Amino acid sequence: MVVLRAKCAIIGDQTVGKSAVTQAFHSDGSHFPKAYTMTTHPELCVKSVNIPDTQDSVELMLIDLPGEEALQENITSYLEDCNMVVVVFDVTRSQTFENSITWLNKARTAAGASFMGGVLLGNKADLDARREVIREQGEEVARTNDLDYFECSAKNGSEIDTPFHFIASMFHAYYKDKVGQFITMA
Amino acid sequence: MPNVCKESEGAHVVLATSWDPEHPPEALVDGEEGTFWSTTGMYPQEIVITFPAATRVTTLETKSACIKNIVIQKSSNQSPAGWDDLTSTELTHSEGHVQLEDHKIDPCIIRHIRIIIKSGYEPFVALYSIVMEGTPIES
Ligand SMILES: Nc1nc2c(ncn2[C@@H]2O[C@H](COP(=O)(O)OP(=O)(O)OP(=O)(O)O)[C@@H](O)[C@H]2O)c(=O)[nH]1
Ligand SMILES: [Mg+2]
Repeated sequence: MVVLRAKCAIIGDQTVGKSAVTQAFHSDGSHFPKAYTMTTHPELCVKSVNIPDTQDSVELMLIDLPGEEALQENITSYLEDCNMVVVVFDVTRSQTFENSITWLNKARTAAGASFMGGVLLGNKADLDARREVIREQGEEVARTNDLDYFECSAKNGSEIDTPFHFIASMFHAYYKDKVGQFITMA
Repeated sequence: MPNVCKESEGAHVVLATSWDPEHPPEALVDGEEGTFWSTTGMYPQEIVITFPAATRVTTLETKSACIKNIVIQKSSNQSPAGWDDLTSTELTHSEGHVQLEDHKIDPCIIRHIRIIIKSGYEPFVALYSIVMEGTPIES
């Protein structure tokens, strides 16, 4: 029965829905910010996730970062020691999809030795008629960058938990693996 | 001189920032080579060990895995407060091997020891043992 603690950054272009996704997950779907409020400085929240078939849990410390270009100066320090990322893009704007990998690389560099991967998350899946990025494209880019791919809608709350449960399980598996190595190294 | 940093010598853990029941903080003072305290995510991490009496210590060695920056402090007060730095070291890392470090210290009187892990080469680190040769002084 161990409680692990992971630092996870939510990154991506402006208005893709990083804050909406984070808040929907954190509030168990009870909160969706309809009106847009630009995130001007990193916002932190913590949410615990139980790992299936174990007594273990992972406390995710989520850092919701601003997407706005002009606010990027101080972000590097928040990405330091970051374990995982949720790279969010908007499925109705292909430009935000193209920028995801730039976000990923920036986070990977800033995070250093603690970095272990993450997910690529296509948000606003409810706006299917306006879709510019299809699932197959997302999966392809995720695969070539060692990420896993998910889609969700913060608006109607669908598939919000899935990517977060996935990274929690990933962190847990990494820990179990490391501890196994520590045992053999002794 | 005996290793005073063992449960059998009366040393015990009074604080630790990570707790996995399978690899608990107490593993550090159980006198066994193979057991370890594992950290469970994020830095910094710390552990405080208290000795049954003020102890004159002459050596300090650690056995660990994946630690990068480590700071060790001592206190000679009755309660664990008023910390002074003993060492601050960047350990080297070689994949798949433990780190054995002889921290060169001047002989000193210690009642409590505090180990702060500031960073790691991995998201998690292990601390197997601390060997401190010394003799308790009567108080
Ligand atoms: N239709 C739809 N709109 C969404 C969804 N998620 C977020 N939005 C809307 O998109 C706008 C931007 O959402 P935010 O969560 O503030 O975006 P952000 O990525 O945090 O933006 P910055 O903080 O500026 O980087 C808001 O008006 C939300 O209501 C979604 O799943 N579907
Ligand atoms: Mg935001």
